[in-house]
Amino acid sequence: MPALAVAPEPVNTEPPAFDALYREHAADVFAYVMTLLRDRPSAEDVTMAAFERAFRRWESFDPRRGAERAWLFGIARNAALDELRRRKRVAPLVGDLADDAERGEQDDPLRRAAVRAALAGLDPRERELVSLKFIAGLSNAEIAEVIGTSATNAGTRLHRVVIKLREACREA
Amino acid sequence: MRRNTALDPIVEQELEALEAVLAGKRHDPELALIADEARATAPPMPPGLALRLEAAAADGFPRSAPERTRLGWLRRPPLLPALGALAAVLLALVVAGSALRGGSSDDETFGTSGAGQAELSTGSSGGANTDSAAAGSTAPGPTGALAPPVAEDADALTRQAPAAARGPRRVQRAAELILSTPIAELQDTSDAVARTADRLGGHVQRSDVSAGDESGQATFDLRIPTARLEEALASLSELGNVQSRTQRSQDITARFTSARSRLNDARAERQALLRALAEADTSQEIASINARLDIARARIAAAKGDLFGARRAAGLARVSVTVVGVSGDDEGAGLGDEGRWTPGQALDDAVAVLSVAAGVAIVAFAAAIPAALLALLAALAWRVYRRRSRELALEPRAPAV
Repeated sequence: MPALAVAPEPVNTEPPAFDALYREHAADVFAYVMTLLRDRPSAEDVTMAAFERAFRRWESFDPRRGAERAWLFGIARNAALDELRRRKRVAPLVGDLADDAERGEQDDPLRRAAVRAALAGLDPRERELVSLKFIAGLSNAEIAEVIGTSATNAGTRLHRVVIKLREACREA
Repeated sequence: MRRNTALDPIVEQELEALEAVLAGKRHDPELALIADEARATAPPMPPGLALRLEAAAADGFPRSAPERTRLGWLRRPPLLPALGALAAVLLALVVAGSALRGGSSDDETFGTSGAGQAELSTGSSGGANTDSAAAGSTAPGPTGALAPPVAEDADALTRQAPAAARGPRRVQRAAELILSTPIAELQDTSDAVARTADRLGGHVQRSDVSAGDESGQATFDLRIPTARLEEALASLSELGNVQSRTQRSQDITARFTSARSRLNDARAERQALLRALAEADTSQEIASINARLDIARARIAAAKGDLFGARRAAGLARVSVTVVGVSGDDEGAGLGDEGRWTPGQALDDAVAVLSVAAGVAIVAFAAAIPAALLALLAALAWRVYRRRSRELALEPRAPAV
């Protein structure tokens, strides 16, 4: 009995590295863009546009100049800020955040609520740092590369945000 | 701008603690809670977006309409090279134009003028000699070569003729030709000049040949029937390398008309005197009329001479031919012996062409440097502006008053 013919795998014509980059960071990029825009439809469009831009520029990406995920988040940042400029508005402080109604509150709910309030009260630049650090998991050097500053400055700013959140936690 | 300085030790310690907590290597309830809450704020990827991204990835992320920027048309493949080519052509035109303007006063230039007749003359010296009537007159050119006067425009001379001139136009024509030939062939060429004049019904009015071992020169003053002047010039031009060819035309209708008028007047006076002589009665009266007849006859002879001279001037063109014998190395303008283009001369020409091309390239490069610097500055300024405007978008909204 002849062996069953196995359908050939579809030939992937895209660079495998970009495909891996896209699959690994798509959700984080969306969350980061959402942090900046606070508007879900716009964040979806900007995320699409960011990956389009990244795909077009992928061949010109030079690993010697920085990590690829920092490069990707930099593109997403520019796309998001361009969207903000286009709308002639600044990033809103309150917006369409994640639905946390289903999250467990049994573990020190007061402190959690205080931290959540402190997070909601951060200004856009601080929110951006929180998103890049805690959600995207970038190193301080990568954050510096994304926001266009030095690693020292990025670390100092991140430290201030953490101190602010710690204080909110302790005051609860 | 992105210079890294030493981090504050306390800050560094706190950041290290944060990294350790995030990596699960250290227990810090506060930091863990903060990280947990921060992660909890992350919105999940909408299923619709995930599907759109998957579809776009499968299609190679086709460019969507919003991605096209205001300057997106510049990125279209055919436009950018076309703009570059256009800029290069404009630059080349500017460079070539400036080079031509700058070089025309020094370089020996050749051009044509006259009533449809080919003429070669040195550029800057010709204009000062347009009124010269002497066929053999020469003036030193910018490079020291003999430069003949430029031909007058026959039509222009016609316009300047007296309005009262009657009858057909009488034009005196003259030409000057400077040839170069190998010194060894100077005598043969000189003989050929004389034979050409004879063959065309003309003659040699004057000739002067002087030849040495290294150089020599022969000058001829020819008279050629005006009707065959063009043929004569064409034949003479084939005897050597033409260094210069000049033609002039002068309207002599007034001179012709004046001579004929004086002749008619003198003849009429003579007829009247002859009639008076026939009717004269006294010897004294006869003697007086005879004296006046002598004067009239002299006037008739002079007018006839003038008329003959005018007719001759109109019928025979003056052609001045100068044959310069040169050594083999100097012979011809880019042509070798017997008019051949030798490989050595081709190499010289190639070097000359490359030199000019290199000069043009250097000038273009010099012009491109400031333009490139300006473009670079503009690009930097645009980049800074765009970066600042992007950062401004992150500034907190000012509270409403």
